[in-house]
Amino acid sequence: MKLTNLLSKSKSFNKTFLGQNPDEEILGITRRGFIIELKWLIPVALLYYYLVLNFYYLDLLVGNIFTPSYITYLRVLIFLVITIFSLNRISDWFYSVNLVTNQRVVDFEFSGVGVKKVVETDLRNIQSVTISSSGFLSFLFGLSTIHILTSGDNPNIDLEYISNANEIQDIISDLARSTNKNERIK
Amino acid sequence: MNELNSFLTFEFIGMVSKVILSLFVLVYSIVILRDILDLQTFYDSKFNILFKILSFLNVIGSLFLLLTSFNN
Repeated sequence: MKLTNLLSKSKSFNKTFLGQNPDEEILGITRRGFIIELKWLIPVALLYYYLVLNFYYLDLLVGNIFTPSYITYLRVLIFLVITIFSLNRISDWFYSVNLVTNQRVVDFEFSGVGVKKVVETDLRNIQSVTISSSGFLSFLFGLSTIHILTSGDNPNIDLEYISNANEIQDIISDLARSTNKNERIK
Repeated sequence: MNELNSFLTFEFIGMVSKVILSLFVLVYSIVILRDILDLQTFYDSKFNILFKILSFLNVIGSLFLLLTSFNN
């Protein structure tokens, strides 16, 4: 993809992020595929169905121990716990984004309560960008991991389970090449 | 001893357990609300508002649950 195309495309991203410089533009946004979230979403949906929506199973489990009013209370409690947990996981997925700007690559990673990791590297520090894919699920759903190798002490960045990995790799390597070329001219 | 037995009725223990569980859910929902407010390093206004509203509703729901748990 040509850099001019990228820059014209960047106007469609009407989003900003914390720590964005005034002359910085977002050229690519990606996050891990939602299909990965099914590993917690399916058990939660089953729990929700069997313990909250379906009245039979909770009555069967604790009907002999608790009174009907207590079972209703438990049902509301389970509903709230499941909703809060799901909201936490979905917001973690939504905000764990990888951003490619015209100056750097930023990887926001959130997992669980209060666990936060932000890694960024300047485009001029990028040495190579490689894509790897392993595992049956990754193959089935077309998910890949992008490894960004940086120079010196700068941290390497791994963008995991990305669905549009080829496009992102293309954007990053084009930008890194043009940035390094401009640096050399200066 | 008899006084203690009359105090520790089944209803009373049920109410205390309800209050403790509701408090746990309330604290959990407040922590998640705080976490969601802290997460928003990437600004996407529509979803930011949606997540805020949902987590706030959870706090209200947990508070409501706590208040109802005092009644038997």
